[in-house]
Amino acid sequence: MADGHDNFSGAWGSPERLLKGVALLGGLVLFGLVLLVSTAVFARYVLNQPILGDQELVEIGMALVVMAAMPLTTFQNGHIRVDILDHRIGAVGRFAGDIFARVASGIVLLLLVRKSWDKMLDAHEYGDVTNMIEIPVWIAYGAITFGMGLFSLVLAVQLIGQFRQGVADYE
Amino acid sequence: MSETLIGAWGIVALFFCLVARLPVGMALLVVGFGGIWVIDGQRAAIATMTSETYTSITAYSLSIIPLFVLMGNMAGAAGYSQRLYEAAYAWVGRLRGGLASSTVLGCAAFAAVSGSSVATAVTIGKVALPEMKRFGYADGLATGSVAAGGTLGILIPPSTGFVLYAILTEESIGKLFIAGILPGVLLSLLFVAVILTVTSIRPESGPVGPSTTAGEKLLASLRSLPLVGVILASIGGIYLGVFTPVEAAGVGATLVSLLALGTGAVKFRDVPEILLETVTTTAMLYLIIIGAHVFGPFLALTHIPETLALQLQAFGLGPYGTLALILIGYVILGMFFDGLAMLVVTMPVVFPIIAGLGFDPIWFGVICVVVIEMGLITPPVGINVFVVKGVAAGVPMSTIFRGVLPFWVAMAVCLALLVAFPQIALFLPGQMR
Repeated sequence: MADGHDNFSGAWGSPERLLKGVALLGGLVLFGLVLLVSTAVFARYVLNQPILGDQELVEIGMALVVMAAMPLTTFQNGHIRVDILDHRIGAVGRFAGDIFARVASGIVLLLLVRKSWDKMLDAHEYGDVTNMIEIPVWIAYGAITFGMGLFSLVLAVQLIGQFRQGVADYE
Repeated sequence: MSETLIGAWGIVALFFCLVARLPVGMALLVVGFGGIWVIDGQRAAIATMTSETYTSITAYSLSIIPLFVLMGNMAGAAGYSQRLYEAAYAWVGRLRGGLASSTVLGCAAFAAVSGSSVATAVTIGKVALPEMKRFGYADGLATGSVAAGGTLGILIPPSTGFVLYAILTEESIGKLFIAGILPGVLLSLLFVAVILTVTSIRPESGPVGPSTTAGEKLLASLRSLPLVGVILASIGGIYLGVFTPVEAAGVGATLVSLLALGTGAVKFRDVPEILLETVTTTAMLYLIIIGAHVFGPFLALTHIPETLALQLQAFGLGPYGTLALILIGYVILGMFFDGLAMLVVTMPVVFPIIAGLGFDPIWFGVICVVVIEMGLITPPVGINVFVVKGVAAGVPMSTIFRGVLPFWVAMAVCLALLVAFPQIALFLPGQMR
């Protein structure tokens, strides 16, 4: 894989730090969820006092965890790809493939971001909340807007980097 | 254009996207979105994509993924894999090929805290490969036992394979986990049998290790006890119905974290790195899940699953003939595809066929995971082989693939046994409350 991560780790050191920071916030939320789930079990069995709405907290929290980590995973080329034909399509093929992949993904993601932004505003305006403890639902839509928005930004940065480096980098 | 034809083009487009280096999850998302657009219009496509993304990331049952991943990463960073390996070694080290057998058993034990085959192969491989080298084990046997043993990670619960299967087929994660236990034990024993066979043919490939005293056996077992306790508490809790799988994962992750941080096996400054590793693995899996949730509805709109099922029926192969055909297809696909990706791409088509033939869905989940395991070690794209290559840099790829071959045969035997005796998978889930 002669693309993405390696290209940017030098010149783009600070964006990676930023994305790591965002992902780490997600990691902290995750740690909080771990404690919440265990505490809920303890409270139910030992204290006979179930925690109200623990499930809803986990659901909304998970949206934050996943979306906080999505941009970093993309930046580090951490998503599973089928690279079996990579060497068959040659450097030009790989270069062109990455352009297609990033542009196509970017367009679809931007449509998703626009819609989730609208949904977020709607949910906020109508005061949509979860059933038990009334957590605002716009938080989850906001997470999608933020995470997928940053995802498409990473793709744009990678695309620019790809053109700056040229096909030679794919040899 | 008929909907089936659109579906066929969709599948062509999916393969094009995969070759064009789109991540699997993204390819599913792009093609699913495009397909729904063509059939039902832009509004429907955008609405489906957004609502499916929302449902995926806020699904309570899916939160099991990061919880178990965190538990496995924490246990790996704390070096618990070493303890499990040493405990296994204390008991079987004296056998011929004992270090290789310890590797397999260590993998099986670590698989009970890890849901990933790659992670299992890496953590045990780092400990076991240098040891086997030191005792003059043949490279093929040493690397083969790590690559194959590592695959147990997705068969023995917890397992990302079972979680994905459960999501795709709406089956119970808890039942699937429990169904994986006996087949996991069976496969581990088959691997040990392979090692005994190989070393009886060529004794020099796996020399006997130094003997351990009863005291050493006891000590090694005691040292592995805390982790074994966590394993029993979390998996046993699911079996007894004390916990939901998500709760088991949460409790397991808490216990391992307390243990690792409390004993100083993991330093607090290492925690950010562990968390980052956990959330990026999580994001990777979730992109696939989101993609699958958009691709699934598209495929349903095209009626391709029904059409294919009818076609297969027309072949007149009968249930087992059709099953054999599907499994052979999976073994071949597994040579080229990432196992989880293969599962996600094919399940919307394959599962209705299997269910229609009257096979048990939980049993088929176990079958699928074993087939994925086979794909993890078959050339040209056997991820676990690459992983082992990463740890044992000096060993040529061809040697590893040759070393893995007898283990692959053991997997095929395991598969045949599961088909012949479905109870191996179904007995324990049947006992659950």
